[in-house]
Amino acid sequence: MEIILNTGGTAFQGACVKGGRKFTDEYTQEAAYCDINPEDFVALGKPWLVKITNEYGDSVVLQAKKTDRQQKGEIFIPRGPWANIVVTTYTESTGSPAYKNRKVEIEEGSGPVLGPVTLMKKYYSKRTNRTGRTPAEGGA
Amino acid sequence: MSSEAQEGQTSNKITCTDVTCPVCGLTCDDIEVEVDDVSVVTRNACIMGDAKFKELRSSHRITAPLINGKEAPWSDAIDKAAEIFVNAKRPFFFIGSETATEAMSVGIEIAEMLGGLVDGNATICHGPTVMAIQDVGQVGCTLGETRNRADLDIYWGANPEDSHPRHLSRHSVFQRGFFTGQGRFGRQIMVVDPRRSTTAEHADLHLQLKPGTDFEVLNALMTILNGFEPHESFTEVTGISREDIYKAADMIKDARFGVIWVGLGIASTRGKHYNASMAMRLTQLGNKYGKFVILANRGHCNVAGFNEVLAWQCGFPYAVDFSTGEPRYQPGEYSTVDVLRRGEADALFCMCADLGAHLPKRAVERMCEIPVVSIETAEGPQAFISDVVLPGVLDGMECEGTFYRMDNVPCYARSFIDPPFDFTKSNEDTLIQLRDAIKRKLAARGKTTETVEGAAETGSKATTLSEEEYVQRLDTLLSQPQS
Amino acid sequence: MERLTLTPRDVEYLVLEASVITPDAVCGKTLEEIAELPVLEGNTKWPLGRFFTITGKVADAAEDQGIIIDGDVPRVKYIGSKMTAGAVLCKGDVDMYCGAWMKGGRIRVKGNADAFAAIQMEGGDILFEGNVGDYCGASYRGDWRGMKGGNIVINGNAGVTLGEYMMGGKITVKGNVGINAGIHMGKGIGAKDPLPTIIIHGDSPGRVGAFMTRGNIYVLGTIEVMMPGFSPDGTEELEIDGVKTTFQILNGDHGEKGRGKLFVRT
Ligand code: SF4
Repeated sequence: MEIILNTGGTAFQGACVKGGRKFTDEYTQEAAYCDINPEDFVALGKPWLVKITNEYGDSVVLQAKKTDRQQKGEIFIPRGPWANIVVTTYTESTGSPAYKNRKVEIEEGSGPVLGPVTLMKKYYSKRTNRTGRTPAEGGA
Repeated sequence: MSSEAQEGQTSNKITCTDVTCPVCGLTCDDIEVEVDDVSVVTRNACIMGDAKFKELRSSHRITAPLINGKEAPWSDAIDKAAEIFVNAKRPFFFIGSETATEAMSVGIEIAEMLGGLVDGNATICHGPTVMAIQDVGQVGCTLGETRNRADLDIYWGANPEDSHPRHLSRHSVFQRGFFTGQGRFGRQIMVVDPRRSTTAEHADLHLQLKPGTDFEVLNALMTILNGFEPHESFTEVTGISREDIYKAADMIKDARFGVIWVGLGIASTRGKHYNASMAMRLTQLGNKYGKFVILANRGHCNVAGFNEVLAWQCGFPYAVDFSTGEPRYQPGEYSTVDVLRRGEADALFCMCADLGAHLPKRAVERMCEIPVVSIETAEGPQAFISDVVLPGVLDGMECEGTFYRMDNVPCYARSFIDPPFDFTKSNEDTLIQLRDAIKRKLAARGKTTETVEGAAETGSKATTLSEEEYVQRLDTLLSQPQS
Repeated sequence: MERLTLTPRDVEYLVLEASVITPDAVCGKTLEEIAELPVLEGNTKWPLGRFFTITGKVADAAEDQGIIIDGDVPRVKYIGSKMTAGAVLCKGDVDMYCGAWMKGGRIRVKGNADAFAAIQMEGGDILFEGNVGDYCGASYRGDWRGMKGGNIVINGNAGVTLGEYMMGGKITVKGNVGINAGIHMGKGIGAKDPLPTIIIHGDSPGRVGAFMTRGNIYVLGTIEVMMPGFSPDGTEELEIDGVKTTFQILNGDHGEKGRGKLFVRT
């Protein structure tokens, strides 16, 4: 179902990052979840995991958390590499990417919530062939 | 602010008072730290500050330079980094915020020397708010004034309970200042946030708007203050009742000293800097009734400092391009995400910021394609995608430096301990070494550039050329840069 | 009119700043001289001929000079910027600042244009047959004096912040626009100056005419979110591009005590 994504910092996620614990399981605990309003949570079928997909087709699997802090029709993911898989690069030509208020697809997910190291390996391995692309195609 | 290091009973134990915290924009300067060989104990610091101080004795600190993930000698790493930037046509320098202004200044100097681009953390944080200051102007004040005078605190798209944990207790809601001796009971709190955040629980009025409608709500408030009625679609659009919006307008009118704290809820949503512009216009209108100011809750300790340094070195706050030799400013073109998204940069320097974790996927993918050099203190996404990692020094702990607090007040932070390595004394030192290595390489290349120039000159003197000669000359010209 | 054709060569580059692709820069020069005009790739200066094959004829004056770019150049900035006369036709996409600071002449882009197209334009005509990016016809960053004159027609869609700080001239969008169309419109112009005009045939997600103080904006599609600072003031029948339509008139932006007019089709 279509839903509005907001991302942002939390104190615990902040502590993890500032404390240099970015490649630990604690980071996964503090940043790889998704806050969902109770009504939406039921509508999704009370999932353990959810899969978020953005308009480019990139997707990430996160733990689902039910919370009444969230308004209906919105989800919140703490700042971090997980959220940024689905944050889009469109900046309205201001330099600031769409960290907040962007429409995404949410559905019940399966498969593991990746740890930070696995996530980096899966999505961002250094390309060996760096000249393989013409810069003109850069944007997409 | 006096900091004194005393030797305790155990030989290696250091106790230090009035330490400046180098983590969030509040730059608290009342931290007490006790360090011995294995552990760190802090007093007064919040959970985030404490975590950073614990870095002094952590197991995951990067203490040796890495090239392609393997440990390498310091001189090799500096040399490799210099080589990367000298070869780049459009090197990009990202100056992160967890370092002192002195180091930033050298980083900017390198970018200028190479004709590259330079940008700072503001670009993915409060950059839009900075743009809004240029757009309409800011009525500001220091944190001391808000603490001693403010009787209305409006948190707009901000959640300081999470982002600046000591905000409420030190500078706003609960603090008992000179004119605000009643603490919480003497202040009105308004929170504007689509989430029922932890800050919202303290609020007298929580405007739980629909996400992305900050602009409309601000405009409605201004319309009411100007004596007009908001358009009939207002409630349907923003999800806020007429009653609440009039109540909010009354709170603004009644305040003797109001503060609007804007957070990323304003800067990162749709409309970006125009949301902040509108908030600043509202502040200006609010001054008809009482004193009204607006302050940005800047996230990192020295993110404001980068804007200050760049502005005094070349006149613009962030997103600057030096490729023509003169500084040019254009967020949306020279800003980090856009440069990476468009595939413009061909080498990246990232200093004291975890771009790997905090940029959107499509931008990080570009970083995987180009050489990346980083200064990092701990392993993490940024170190993972870097070709060269230079170990970072913890500013404000292992070396001294100046930090700009979120209200643009410079705070001098002293050091109380030495870095765990001896090849560099501070991030500034690292950058100076890198700058000198780049200068040496450029000088060595100076000759080659001259010969190219010479060739071009002799070429242009010959005006009448046969077609064959012309094609030939063009071919040689085209294979070399002009200068 | 003499025609000069630039055909993109198969050369890789990061991004080019080619403010020399204007009739003013090429007129009166030989083909060889044109091939040596400098373009910037980051910090490196290259001759134009490295990236384009240059053929055709050169005129003596800019008015008689036409430039045809025969292909896609989505990473070439400043095409036709600051031009005063003549014509530029691009058969594909162009990058940022196409027609920026333009004073006269004509530009026609068959593909899409990126952001900052035609910023601070003062005169001339531009036709974008595809879509344009953000800040089309806006002011340069930090300036409060936007487009002063000229005519922009966009057959496709426009991005956000169309015609920011617009002071004169006319923009017509046949497709849809992003948010903030006509934001800050009319700032800095007096009551007797000719009013700037924006005509939007498609839809807008909102914030049309925010901060607006003077000027006219016509929306023939729908506005999803109305600015709260506008108040209705009757209806009127007007002829736009030869078609008669009834509009609801709204005054605003009251947040700025503005006297702008927003016409929305009823
Ligand atoms: S509130 Fe900010 S500056 Fe103060 S201790 Fe916490 S992290 Fe450090």
